[in-house]
Amino acid sequence: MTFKHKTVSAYPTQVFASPLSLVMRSGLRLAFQSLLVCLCLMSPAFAQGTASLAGEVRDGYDGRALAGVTLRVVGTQFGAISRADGSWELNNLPVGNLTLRASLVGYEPLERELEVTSGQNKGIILSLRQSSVQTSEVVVSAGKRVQAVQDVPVSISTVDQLELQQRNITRLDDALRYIPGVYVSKDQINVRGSSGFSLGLGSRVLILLDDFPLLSGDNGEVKFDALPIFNVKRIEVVKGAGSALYGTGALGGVVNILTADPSETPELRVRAFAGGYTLPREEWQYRETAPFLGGVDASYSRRLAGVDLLAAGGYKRNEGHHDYLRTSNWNGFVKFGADLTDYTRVKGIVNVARQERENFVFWKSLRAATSPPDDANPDERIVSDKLSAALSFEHRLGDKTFLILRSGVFRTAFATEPRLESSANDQLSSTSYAISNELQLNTILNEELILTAGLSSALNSITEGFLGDQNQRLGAAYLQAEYTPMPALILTGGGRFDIESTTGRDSELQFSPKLGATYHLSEDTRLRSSFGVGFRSPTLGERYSSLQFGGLTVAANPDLDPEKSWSLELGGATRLTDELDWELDLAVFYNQFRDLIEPQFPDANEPNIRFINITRARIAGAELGVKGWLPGRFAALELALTAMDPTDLDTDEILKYRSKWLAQGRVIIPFGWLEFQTDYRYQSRFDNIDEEIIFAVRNADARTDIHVFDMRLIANLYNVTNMPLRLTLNAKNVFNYYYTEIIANLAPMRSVTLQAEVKL
Amino acid sequence: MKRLSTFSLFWPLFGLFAVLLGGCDKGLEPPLEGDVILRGRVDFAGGVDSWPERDSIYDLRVAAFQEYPPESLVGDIVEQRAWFTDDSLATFQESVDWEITIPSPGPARIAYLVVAMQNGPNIFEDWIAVGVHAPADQRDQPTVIQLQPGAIIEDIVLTVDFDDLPPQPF
Repeated sequence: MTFKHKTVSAYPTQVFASPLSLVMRSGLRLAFQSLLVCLCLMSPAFAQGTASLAGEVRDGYDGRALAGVTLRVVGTQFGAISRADGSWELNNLPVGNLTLRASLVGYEPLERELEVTSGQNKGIILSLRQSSVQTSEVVVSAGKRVQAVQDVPVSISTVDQLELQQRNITRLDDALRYIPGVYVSKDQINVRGSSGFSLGLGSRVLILLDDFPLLSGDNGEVKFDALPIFNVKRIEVVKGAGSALYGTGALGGVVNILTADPSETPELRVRAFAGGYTLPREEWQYRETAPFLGGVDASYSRRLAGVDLLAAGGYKRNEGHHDYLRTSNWNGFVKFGADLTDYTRVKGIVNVARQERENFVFWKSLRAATSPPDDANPDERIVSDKLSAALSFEHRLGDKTFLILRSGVFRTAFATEPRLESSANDQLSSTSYAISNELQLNTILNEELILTAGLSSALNSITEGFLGDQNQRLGAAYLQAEYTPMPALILTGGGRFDIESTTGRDSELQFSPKLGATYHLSEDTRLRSSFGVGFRSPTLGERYSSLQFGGLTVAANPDLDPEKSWSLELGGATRLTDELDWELDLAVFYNQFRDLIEPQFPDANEPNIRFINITRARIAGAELGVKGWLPGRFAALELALTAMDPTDLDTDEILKYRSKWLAQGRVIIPFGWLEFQTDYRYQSRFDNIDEEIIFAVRNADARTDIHVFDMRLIANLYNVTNMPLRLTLNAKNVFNYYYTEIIANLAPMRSVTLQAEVKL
Repeated sequence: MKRLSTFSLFWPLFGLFAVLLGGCDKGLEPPLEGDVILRGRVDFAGGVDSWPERDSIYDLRVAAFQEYPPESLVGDIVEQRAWFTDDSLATFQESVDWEITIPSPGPARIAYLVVAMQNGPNIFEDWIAVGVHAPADQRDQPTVIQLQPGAIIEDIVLTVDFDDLPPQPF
């Protein structure tokens, strides 16, 4: 029995050469062999009155040569595979009309009808369009090594660079809103209901940038503006508790942001976009002109003196969809890689970001939803700086063992300006460091057994600000084994010990086991099951925050305990038809949480928040995903539906700030060099919120179901202008639906932008 | 591969746009200045079979009173100490939705929210309470609802059991 895409590799990421490039290289070998076979098979019987075809296959966006493209004359045995320079040829063809089909993973198949005359027919250029409907073939986040996505025992969703570009995504949260089972409540990522509304503190989803943890050292927050989205190759979202490999924070899931590797040949990419929000309904208009929205990003990469180098920078300005929301962002990103020896490669990233924004916390009221309360300070701004730097050494010990040493630091600093001397509570500021180190070993012991093991340490430290000087230290050891007793079955097991110590508290030990199984029923159908444990140590901010903002008072609670979870999932996936690429994925899941940390109002009549451990919660649900092309391949559909039952097991009520239903849909209609796309997402209304908050924030309980349509028209102008230029007219929330994702904050209204991207 | 032409896709897309554009500006709405909206559902225990004789039901409304106990339904409404649903509720149902708008400036609280039925021809006197917003075991202590200007308070469920009426205030 053989399976497509089966990848047995201990590669942790892209050591020396990416697995895809290895596959490509082996594919090329096959290509040349196939080409020879094809040429040899051409029967001399066709020698009289025969024809030959020759040409090139190129990427429809940037014109680069495509290798490994399968070319087939429909209805015959004639075929060939394109060479490294994109060239191909077919000999001894019968004269007359024929249909030539070209196909390559990641691209839409192309059919060209040709009238073939006797002799040579040269110069046939085939331009393949990158497919908007595709699934990443390999993932790295489920097991800390490269795996075929079909072999992974957990639910994992990916977003690739093409999708990010087409949707004009500039922030991680905007990308995650399109992923099945995921929604974002302002600063909180919610995977299958894992997170509620906690003022951004203590993410229950671990964020990694090229495998480095990237949560702030003070509040454990996701800094959405600190991520180099323009240079992202792929985002992977692992759903369910994942502390067995990743430790604290992976309570509800893991989001790994993988940046693109530098190009070996010089490459310049530039993207610019401009547009604005349309004015809201008359009652909410606070200005006369449409707020501006725009930005520019550029990156340059090449190999220089044996070093693969990528440098990028960007600027974005957003006047905001309501008052007091003007934001400016700058960012810079450098990635490099070099082979120190034949066995050792060093890689590194440096990412800096600066944001200046006005400080809108809650609206004045639903009637004045685009304005802050009257006592808001119109001059107040929050200025924040983020720096992340990471270095990794990847050393190959023989053919089957890899050793990786990673070290990284994430510095975050923010302060409100102008600085006020009158009250410490009014002066919110913090500077923190999150430092992480990891030693990882991947080894293939034999054909049946692959081991992944590691040691890691982390330090979260606050050096100045309203939280005072606080430190949190974490150390861990983990081991994972993947056993393949028969070709169709992969068993996974492992566990991780974490020890945490925080200023003024005793050390605490956590053990997080995991089990998984993947069984291939056939080449196209597989079943999966997994069990995992997660935990999250309270952040320094949750334990020691004591402040006032937005009419709320937050009290410290140093006695907070870690929150814990376990996840059980059963799922299956199948390819329904090969011709139209229909795929179906179904999962049922059960997550249970203990000691969840939620902001509570201990006094029902006072808006005083305290983070406390509520006891137990349960989230059971199911997730269905379907995608494929309609007959005739004139349009592609992607549909996803998630149903959840988030229940507080103590009160038997629905958990606060959780939706029961999520749905996402996407339609893609290509025509010629144009492509029309529309996205739809639905999120059911929060059934339960903290009603006490209405005493502090007027109409804080106003909320509704969320229905958002985005539409875009994409023009790939390479075939028209011979330049690798892509224009995108992007309309988000095109029907101007008014909703909130967190209390007392209107979500973005309709925006329209024109985006141009060129790659040279 | 044969694809549909740009022209053949134009009209379906245009039609889709035309239909969907009619749905613009939905979702949250700004309430009128200061008006308070109460809305919810009335459940009738026992279902359709539990209703009294049809000729004994003259009117059926949800009413919100500023004070408890009220003096009279009509009197308090006239004096703007009470407000009720604009229309009579549908009868012989298992449940019906309701909504009350309390114009600004309204009271700071509602002390008594009740389903009131007119069971005789006298519009001033023939009213009885058939359901009350109160804990099930303390129906003589109605739940107080705090109001803020512009508030929209939703999902208030009232239960009517014609075989077990609450204390009568009128």
